[in-house]
Amino acid sequence: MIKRLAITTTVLVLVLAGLGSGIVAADDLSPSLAPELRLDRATKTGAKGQLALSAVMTTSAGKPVSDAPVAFFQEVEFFGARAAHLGTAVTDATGTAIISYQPAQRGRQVIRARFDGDPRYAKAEATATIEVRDAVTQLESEPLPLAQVREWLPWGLSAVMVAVYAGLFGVLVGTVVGVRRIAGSEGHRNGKGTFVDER
Amino acid sequence: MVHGEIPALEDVRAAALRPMGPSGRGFWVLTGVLALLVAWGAIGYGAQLLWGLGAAGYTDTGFWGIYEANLVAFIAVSYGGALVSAILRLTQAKWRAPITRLAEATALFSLLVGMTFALVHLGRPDRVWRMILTPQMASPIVWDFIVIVTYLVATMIFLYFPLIPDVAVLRDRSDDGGWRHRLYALLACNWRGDPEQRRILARGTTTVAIVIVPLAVFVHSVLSWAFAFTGRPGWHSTIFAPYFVVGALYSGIGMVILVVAAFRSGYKLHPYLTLKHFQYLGYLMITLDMTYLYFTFTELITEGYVMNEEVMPVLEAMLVRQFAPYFWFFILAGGFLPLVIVGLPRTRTIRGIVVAAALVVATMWLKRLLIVVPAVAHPLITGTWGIFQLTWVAVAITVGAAAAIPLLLMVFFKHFPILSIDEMEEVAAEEAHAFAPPRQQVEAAVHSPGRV
Repeated sequence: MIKRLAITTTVLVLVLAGLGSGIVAADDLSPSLAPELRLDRATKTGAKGQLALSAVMTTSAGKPVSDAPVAFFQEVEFFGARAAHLGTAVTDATGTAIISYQPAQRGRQVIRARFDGDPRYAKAEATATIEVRDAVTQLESEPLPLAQVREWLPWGLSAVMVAVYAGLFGVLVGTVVGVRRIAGSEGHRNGKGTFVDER
Repeated sequence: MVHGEIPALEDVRAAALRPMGPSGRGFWVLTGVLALLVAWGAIGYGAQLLWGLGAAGYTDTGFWGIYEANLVAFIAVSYGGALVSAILRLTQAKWRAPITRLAEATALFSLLVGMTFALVHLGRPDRVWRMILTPQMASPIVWDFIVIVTYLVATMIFLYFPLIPDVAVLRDRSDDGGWRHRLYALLACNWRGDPEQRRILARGTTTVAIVIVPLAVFVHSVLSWAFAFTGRPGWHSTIFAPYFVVGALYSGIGMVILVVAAFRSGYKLHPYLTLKHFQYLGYLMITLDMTYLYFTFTELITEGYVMNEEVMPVLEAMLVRQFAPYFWFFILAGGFLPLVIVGLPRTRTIRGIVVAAALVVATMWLKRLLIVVPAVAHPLITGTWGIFQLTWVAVAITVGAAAAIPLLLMVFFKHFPILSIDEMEEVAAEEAHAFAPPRQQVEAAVHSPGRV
């Protein structure tokens, strides 16, 4: 009986140990597939200063990995090296994850794409450097129609004044020249400046 | 001129040229006094340049005051002269003939003096050239500069055109070849009185008269926008533009009455500037008086009824607190008293109308001060009302500027006719023709020397 009990206990312990190991191993066990993640070249979208960041995840055999969440980060210096989260996208059927990114600064930026792993695949990361040439450095809103009126009003008023000046000087010159011309055609000035009528 | 009393042409010319002859002691005494006042003003300005705008009573909390009021007031009286001459000329009102030269000259010299206050109230007048080279086009101050200079050019032309035939008379009378003769010859533009010359001159004068009326409206509107385009309680009002225009006309007519009365008395122009002229000007003045009172009432009741908490302190200060005595003095002495004086037949005399005009000019200057000072003094940040105090510097400059106007007029009429000879002769000829027996009318038409 004791022998039977010992055998039962030993089998039970072994089974339990095996299960536990399996569970532990299941947590600790790397997925069998290690994906490859690469960042594609950033492309411009239609909006000013906006880029499309895309990352492609495939298996080692080159097969696209879909439904995998990929997070994008920008490496920044902010009280030490930090990763600023730019956005997360899920890979599509072609294994591509795309986010829109609107840089606030021009220049060289380090972009990191990260897949934190799932039951199917292991973690993966990719880093790339992009050169931002067109950044939206400040918020701009569409000017209100009345604001445009305010902008053009002084110039409109100035144009009116220029027209008035032109009219006034035109009248002055026209009148003076006209009066002189009428007199000049039918007489002359003597040495003392007095007009001599020759009619 | 009154029907049936047609002055002889030689009398008109003699009266028009009388100021150009030898002057009596009274002229020189008055000129000396006015020149001394102007000199006092210049000394005051020198003191201000030396000690800063603080010497004129300006402070951080009272940053606009008497000079801004003077700028508006002096340019405003200029509009009255332009209006009297332009509108009466356009409407062919015959009674205008003896007044136009005085009105036009008053318009020009008031404007010249008023413009100087734009420089006087600058703390750094040496930087004014920047307004020409790098103007801030969004600023109503720059618009002020542009429109006032334009109005000045128009006023000068408006004075010059009707002067051409009269200067030709002077040219022909002064045949000595001296500097005056050369000046008159230059300005006369070979004037001979031909119908064609008259037609060209009449067209030019009419064109400028048409332009100057809306231009003056524009000038005073832009002047008002220097205040209204701020967010300051008491200034930010949509009624300011027409308010300023009507105020300008009102005080301007008053100024014309004063100038006409003064020169009538000084140069014995009684046969040409009669009671009728003063009465007609008086009627114009009280019409504008009622209009100005209406605008004042409208502005106050609009703000007072809504009781906007930002505007109420300014309104209270002006109606019932520290500025109330001045405001109600203006309403009584500048609003209702002129109405009564000109309205009652018993007081509608030349003397009465002149007294009313003097009240108008003085109280309208006070009203401009009331427009400027209470709104400026009202605290927007701290709780303490600002202060603007009159100092001898500001008083000297203001008095000097006021004295400069009659002084410039007297100097001007020393060299040019005080009455518009050509217009008066034209009107006299028309009236003589209209009232002559029919046979004489035909003879006059046949033998007319080409008068249009």
